[in-house]
Amino acid sequence: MKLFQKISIKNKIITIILLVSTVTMIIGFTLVGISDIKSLKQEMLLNNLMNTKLIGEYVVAPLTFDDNEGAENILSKLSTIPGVNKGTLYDRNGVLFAFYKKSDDIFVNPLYENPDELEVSRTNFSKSALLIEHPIVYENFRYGIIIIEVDASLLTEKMKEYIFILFGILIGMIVFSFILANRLQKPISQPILELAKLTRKISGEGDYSVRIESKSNDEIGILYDNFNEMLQQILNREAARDEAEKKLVEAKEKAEESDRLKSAFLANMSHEIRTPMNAILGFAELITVPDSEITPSEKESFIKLIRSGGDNLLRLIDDIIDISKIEAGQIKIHKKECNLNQTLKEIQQSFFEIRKHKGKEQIDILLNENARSQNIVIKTDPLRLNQILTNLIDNAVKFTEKGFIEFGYEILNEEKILFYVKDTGVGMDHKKKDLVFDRFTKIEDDKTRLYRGAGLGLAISKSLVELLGGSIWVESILGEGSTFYFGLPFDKLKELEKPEKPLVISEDYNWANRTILIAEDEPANVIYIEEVLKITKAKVLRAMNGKEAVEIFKRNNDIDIVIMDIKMPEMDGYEATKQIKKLNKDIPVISQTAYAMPGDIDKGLDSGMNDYLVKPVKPKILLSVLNKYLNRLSPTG
Amino acid sequence: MASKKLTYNYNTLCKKIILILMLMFVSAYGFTQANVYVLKAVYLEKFTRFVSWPEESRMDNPELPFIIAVIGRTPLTENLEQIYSNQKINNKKVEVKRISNLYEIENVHILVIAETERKNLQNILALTKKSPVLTISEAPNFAEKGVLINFYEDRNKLRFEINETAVLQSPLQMSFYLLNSAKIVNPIKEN
Repeated sequence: MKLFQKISIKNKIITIILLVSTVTMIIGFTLVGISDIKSLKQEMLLNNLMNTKLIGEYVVAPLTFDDNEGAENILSKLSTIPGVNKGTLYDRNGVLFAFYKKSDDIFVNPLYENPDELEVSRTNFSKSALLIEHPIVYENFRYGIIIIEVDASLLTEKMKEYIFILFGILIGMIVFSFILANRLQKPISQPILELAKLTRKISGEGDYSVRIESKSNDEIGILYDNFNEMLQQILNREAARDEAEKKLVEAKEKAEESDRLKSAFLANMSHEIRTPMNAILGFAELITVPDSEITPSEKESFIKLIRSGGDNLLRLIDDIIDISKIEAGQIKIHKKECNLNQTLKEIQQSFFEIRKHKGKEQIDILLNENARSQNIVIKTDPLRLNQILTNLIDNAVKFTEKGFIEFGYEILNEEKILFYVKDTGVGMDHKKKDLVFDRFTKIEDDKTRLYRGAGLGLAISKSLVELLGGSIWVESILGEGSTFYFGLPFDKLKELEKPEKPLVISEDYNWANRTILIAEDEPANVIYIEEVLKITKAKVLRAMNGKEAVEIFKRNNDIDIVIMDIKMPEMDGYEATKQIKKLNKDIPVISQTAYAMPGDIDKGLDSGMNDYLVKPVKPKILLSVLNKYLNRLSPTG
Repeated sequence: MASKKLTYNYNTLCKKIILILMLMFVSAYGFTQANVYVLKAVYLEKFTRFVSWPEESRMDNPELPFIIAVIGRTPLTENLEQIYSNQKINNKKVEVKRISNLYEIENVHILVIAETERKNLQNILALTKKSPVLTISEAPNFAEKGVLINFYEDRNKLRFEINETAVLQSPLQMSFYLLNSAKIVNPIKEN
């Protein structure tokens, strides 16, 4: 059986067919052979018995008339019957009457014992001979006994011949059934072999896209179909898995990237914050040392440095907030009318100031011809446009030591407007052109180590340009300067004839008969606001938390405006604003918050706040915002 | 048990040996005249085994006797009378009668014709020819003349000859086996 398991399916089928047919044939042949041999034997027996009886009748008369010669003459006829060795005839007393023998050496018994005991014919098959004893009875008279002995070797010979022929037929049939089986097994084994071949190929090459062609409708056909289906399923699953794997890898890379960026971000942050902090804290300490011999002019320069450090810090934090907003997709673009020329002029103006602070007054900051002569109003987000240009110009100022910075725009066609900021700064390597827009990328080599910054400005600008529907790029020659370009959709509204009169902000604030409530838990901030408001002569009320603010508001009905901090103990700014608004819905509430995170402002506006100030609040901004609301109201009292 | 069987075997063997010796004696010494007639008388019964008589002969009725008639003078007559005084033929009592008148052959089954009737033979045969009578003789040429069975001696052995044509013409039927062991006289001409 083990051997059977080892052989191929083809040989198995052939073996089974051969085995079955051979066994069947052997059984059949054996049965046929046995019955044939039996009938052969029977035939021989009957033939000889008949001959014996016939001769027995023939010899009745010779026996009757004691005619030995006649009897012997009749017995001699036995020689014509094949196989008869001897024939003996005994009279009714058992005495030998006549005999025939084939050869002389055959013994003939002269007496037959107890002849009367033989009543019917008796036959005896021995290995070598068939013995027939027949009582001769005629017309109720017993005459004697005839005995005939037939050589059975004839039968054996015949049987041998018969078996030989059967064996030959058997061999022939086995050969025939082998040929037949070899042909007939093909429809069964062939598909299985093919399938095996295919599976070997599949497992060897890992190619699941192959298909096996089904030719039959039987179980093998079903097997084929199922196999194909299985392959398809594997293929599908593999595709799905590959897809998922790809996504996973992407996600993983992204996560790693973002982790790496975060680590870098933190490291950068730490560095960027510590650097201005160093100046701020160091100079502040120098100033406050009681015994120091600092001249007033030195003191003033120290304070300038402290302020510049604070400005840097503030910008850094603004940038961080912008980046995180951009990343979170929470930057909202509010497109509205924007007077380009005015915006650009304001930017130029502000940079004149900045240039002064940074001690780079040797640089010219120029507006191009278009920006000076044309008056164009486009629809865009002025705040963001301002931010982009400011970032770019700030960047230019940072890297330019001499020469000029020129910015402005060109109308390319009816659909696109191109802005540019050109400097004569250090420029950059061609290879770094695209890298500069990545976060935390700074041109940092031995020569440029002095340029500080978190490297966020250009990244923010790029994102903002894209949000506004444009693109940004840079052209630069190392050592000669760079030009940043960005195109925006040219959503032209109208062209103004005259430049609008620039808004002149009155810096003369006099709110002598006004009352301002400040809700703030941090005393330093309260002191700061009181200091700023000193020049306005306004009356200032203080509340340490939201609850107190509401109570004070209840007691004093002459309060004109409320400055509300958001994060306070007991009751926060949102809740306090709601309650105050319930008491008087017209009272302006201006929040000031360090939360410059997305959502804070919306949340504040939802709770009823009219405007917001983001800490740190500059005196100028505080005053102008308050002015906006206080001027609207008629003075109380 | 074993000795008893042995004794029995010995006895039967002795009997057999005696019988064989007797037979040898008979064949060795040939047969005397008397013996021939005994044999002939015995043969008569044996012939009847191979011959069938028609219904008119009433062979089926054991009440009626089997009649053997002898015409002419022959020593066979005494032997017949002696042997068939208590032996039956075909379950019938046998009646042996000597006849001189031909008309007495009515109802006779076997008619033995003695050689002394040679001159009268044609008359006798003319009468028996169409009757169910088995004619038996013991004289040369009698068969040729029309007797059905005729005894003769050949090399000291009693033999008989049969006139086949006569048998065919007779109402009697004779077995082939009997014909087969006899010498055939006047065989049936094939066509």
